[in-house]
Amino acid sequence: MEAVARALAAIKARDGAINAFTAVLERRARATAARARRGPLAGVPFAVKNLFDVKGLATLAGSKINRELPPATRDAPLIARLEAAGAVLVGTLNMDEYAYGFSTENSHYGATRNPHNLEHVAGGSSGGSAAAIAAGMVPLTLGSDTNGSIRVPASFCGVWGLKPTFGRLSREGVFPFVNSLDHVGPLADSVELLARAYDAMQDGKRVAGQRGLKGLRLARAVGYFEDNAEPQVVERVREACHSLGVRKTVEIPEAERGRGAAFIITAAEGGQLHLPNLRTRAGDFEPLTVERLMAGALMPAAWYLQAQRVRRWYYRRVKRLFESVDVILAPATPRPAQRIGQDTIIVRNREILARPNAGLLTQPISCIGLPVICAPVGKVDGLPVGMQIIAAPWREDLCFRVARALAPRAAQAVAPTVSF
Amino acid sequence: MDIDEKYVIEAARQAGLELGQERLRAVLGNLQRIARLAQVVLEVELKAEDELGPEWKP
Repeated sequence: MEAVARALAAIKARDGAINAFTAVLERRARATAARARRGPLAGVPFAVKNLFDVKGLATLAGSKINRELPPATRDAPLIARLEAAGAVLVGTLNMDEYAYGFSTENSHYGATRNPHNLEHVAGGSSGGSAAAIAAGMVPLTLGSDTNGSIRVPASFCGVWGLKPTFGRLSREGVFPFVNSLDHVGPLADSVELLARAYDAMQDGKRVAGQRGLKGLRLARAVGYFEDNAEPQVVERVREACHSLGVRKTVEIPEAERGRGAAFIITAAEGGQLHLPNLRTRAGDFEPLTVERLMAGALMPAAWYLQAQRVRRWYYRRVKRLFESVDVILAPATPRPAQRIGQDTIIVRNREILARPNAGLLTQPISCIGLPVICAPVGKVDGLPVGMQIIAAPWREDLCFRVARALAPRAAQAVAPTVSF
Repeated sequence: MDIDEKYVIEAARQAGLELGQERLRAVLGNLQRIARLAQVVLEVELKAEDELGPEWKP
């Protein structure tokens, strides 16, 4: 009860500056907390990206259009699982419209601000999910990740995020974006809480308590993953790898083509999903993405089919890599968070669009559904950056073993700098 | 495949999308960006094992 009351007070005091929440469920949270809470998450307050069904609320998915939907008649199963483990839902969180974005600059609900510097974006599309944790309002949230939407905001806000293996956690009661690529997962303020929350939602091998690097073959990704990140970001990742004793390097083959395939599949499926509304009410969409959705809807079918086949081709190549390594470590984002409203960024002296390119390093991984934890590894220009801890399909346990070894270092690396 | 204004106008007509002049330019810009990525994907030479559907062998 005490932790929930503290969370509600923190939201009241801080969310005016951050804009992470789109609904605060005070009455529900107090009623749930008043009942005796038992389980591994007893009394832990949490919030969910507003594309999860919450009984009594329309599932906004960051849009204006979805306000017209009838309220959900029940909670998404993952919310029910967290509550069965003792956690208490306190609210819903801001996101890019229909999860198509990496910045949570939402024209309908306002931009979510980065708690480390309020002039900068929180990342997206699960921006509210990462910012709410970084601002100390709740320790645990749920997000979704199609191309990096858990890992990009986790990196930008300096929190922990898990994108599990494709298909590991149920998407029932979650508003879709790209059926071929959508994942859901938790974000948290510590590895321990991330593990307990994940265990409460999954049916596989328990990860809570898994520790130790003995016998693990670790390697740092070079090539594409260094060429598309600023040198200071690469340096933070190298330092983290050094602390783990990682000496080996590895090149993930054909990462650029994997990223291309993910981009095409996303555009085509996203465009098709929203085509009926794009025909009749385009003016009600987010101005930053409506033309991207339309372009996706008009794409030649040959591109989409080739992208799906290349995805399979790419998966087979990357899978072979895991015969010689167990875990691969790579930067999560090319740079730290850009300023709100900033259209372009510089990466390795190239000026590129900020919003579509924040996922340059995450898309090649989610394209083939590998499990990844995004760990905070330090700051660049006063803003956090993260590292991806990547394993073979269904080996989330290995990601957690490495994350645990990094945890003490990570806590120091990204201490918040803003006081409220 | 060349993605130009003519392609966008015809594809939008077939899909039932109304594009004003300004939106037409923006959609074209987005499609051309996707086309550049598609190029990288289209040049991959695939084999039968990369087929998506199930293989039927009599």
